[in-house]
Amino acid sequence: MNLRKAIATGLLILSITCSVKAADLTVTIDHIKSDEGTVYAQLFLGEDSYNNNNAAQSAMMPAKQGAGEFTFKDLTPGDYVVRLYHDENGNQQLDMNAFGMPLEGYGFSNEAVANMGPPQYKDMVVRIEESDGVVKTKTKMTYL
Amino acid sequence: MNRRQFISQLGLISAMGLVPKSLLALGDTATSTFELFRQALQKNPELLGYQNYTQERVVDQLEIEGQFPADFNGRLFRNGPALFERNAIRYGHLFEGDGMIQAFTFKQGQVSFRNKFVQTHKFKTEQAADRFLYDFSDIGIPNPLPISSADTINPANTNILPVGDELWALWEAGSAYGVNPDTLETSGVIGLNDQLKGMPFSAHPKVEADGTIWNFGLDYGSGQIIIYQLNARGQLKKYGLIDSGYHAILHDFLITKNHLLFILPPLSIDVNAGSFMQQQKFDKNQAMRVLVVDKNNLQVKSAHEFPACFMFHFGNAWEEKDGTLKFDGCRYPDFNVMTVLGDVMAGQTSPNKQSLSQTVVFSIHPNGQTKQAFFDGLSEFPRIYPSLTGLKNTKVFTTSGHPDAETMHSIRSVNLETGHIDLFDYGRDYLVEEHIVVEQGQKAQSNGWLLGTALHWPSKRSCVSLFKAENLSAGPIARAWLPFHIPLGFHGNFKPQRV
Repeated sequence: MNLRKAIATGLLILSITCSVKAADLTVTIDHIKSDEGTVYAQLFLGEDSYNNNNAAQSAMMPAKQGAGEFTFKDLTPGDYVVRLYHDENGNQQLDMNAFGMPLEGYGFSNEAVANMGPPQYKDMVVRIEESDGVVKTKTKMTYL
Repeated sequence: MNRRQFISQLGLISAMGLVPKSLLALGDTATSTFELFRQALQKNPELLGYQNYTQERVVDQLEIEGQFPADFNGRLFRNGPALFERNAIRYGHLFEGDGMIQAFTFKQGQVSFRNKFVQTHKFKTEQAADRFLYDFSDIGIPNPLPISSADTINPANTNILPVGDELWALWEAGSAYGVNPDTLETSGVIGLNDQLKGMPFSAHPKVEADGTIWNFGLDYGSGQIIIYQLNARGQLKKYGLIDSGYHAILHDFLITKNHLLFILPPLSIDVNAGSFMQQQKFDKNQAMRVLVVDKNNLQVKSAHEFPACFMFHFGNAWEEKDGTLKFDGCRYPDFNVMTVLGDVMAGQTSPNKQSLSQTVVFSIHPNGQTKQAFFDGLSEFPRIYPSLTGLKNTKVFTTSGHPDAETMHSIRSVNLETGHIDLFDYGRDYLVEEHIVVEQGQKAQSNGWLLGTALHWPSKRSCVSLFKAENLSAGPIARAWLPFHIPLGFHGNFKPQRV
């Protein structure tokens, strides 16, 4: 997603959020393998945005071995998916082997995990309702 | 009643409190396979070779019949699935068992033995949990863990190859595991380079006379095949990808002096058909395809077709002077063998379902014309003189047996030029496994040996026998007996050793 599109999307969300209460989504990470590199998180609103790789927000933090946490603030009600990856070698991408298997750590909201293939949208989705204050979701990191 | 209905009915019975919890904890398929095999083994002692095996043992000196030559020194390493059961759950297919390495050491006329399980991720985690954790074939293992990659369930159970100073325990769909040849301790997953982590490295590498190793791995999803070329120490020289358009089981391949041959049977995948094994659909109306790949640039050079058939294993391939490509394999007319290898886990020997495999030489002429030459007799586990890998050979060594027998009980060589067969019959009370050719000295092909294991089911003991490769019908010159049996394995190799 380019910057212009990202801003436009942001404005759209903002215009919606004016009329409804906002919520925060806290994402806890169960196990980061090492202190190397950066952990990236992408937040997707709805299935289309996930399938089109069109993130509503993204965040990053220096990797620190053990548990970790991200918070996405002021979210409008809706169905969200969070995808994480641990860019250990700092090349700003999720490295894959020649058959497309991730070589670096990755994880999904709702503790969804790959099982004979990537997890299904329905297993990753976190619903945020209008009345919610802080919604929490966990991720299980998978390393090859 | 389908499985889903069956399970939901079990749930109903559970609610009524009529069935013990221990039974309900288990999947229906796995439980019944376990019970069926146990009952069948009592009636059919030949099933001993497929019995669950957990022991790791050392035997310093085997009982010997005849005389092993004092200068026949080295080790026969074999691999095969051995652990099939945990907590009264039995796998539904032979290919799922955890790999166990057997090592027979031949030293100055004496023979010793040890065996050990490959310490794969799967074996170690399941051993620690004292239960099966991964339900790859949907047999109803309770609370299964997710399978995030093929190596999660890699049982390293198919072949064992000496590479440099160590052994590589091989499976079809995952990484090789390093094993110490002296102790059989597992050193861990073999890493060829960072980009190839987690890539499949098949169980049938081809080793050229100079030690160069060629191998492949298939990505079932994309149909891409990765091709590896390694040096004799197992270091990566190059690799490349080809699009095969093939998504089903691919067990073996071939090399010639200038080419790699991928033989693709008419199998496709029906994703709605249950386990991965059950998803494989054979279409007798489709052709078997052959992809010829250039060894230099790893690109597909030509593609050819033969009438439908299935082969697990090939003997060898070579190029004639006129450019004709030839290869031989153990040809099944259909894919029933895969069902049979599943049925045996439930103790069902299915002679009526079994299709027989026979040696066939396939020719691809420079003008694209193809030919097949059939050789009589049952044929599996083909091996050749190792130094002729990829070069013209005349003899292939296979296991064999009477067509009405349910198992292999003979070994033989077939002269592919004359059709002459040199055969030794162990007898129906033996289950004969792969026999491999060992070359020794300068005139390797006239002084070669054939070495292999067999299970004598009436006495519940396994043995290893040595034959003169050029005179099998004379019988073994020596045989060493274990005081117990070991499960039937798949493939192995010999590593010579100076004393």
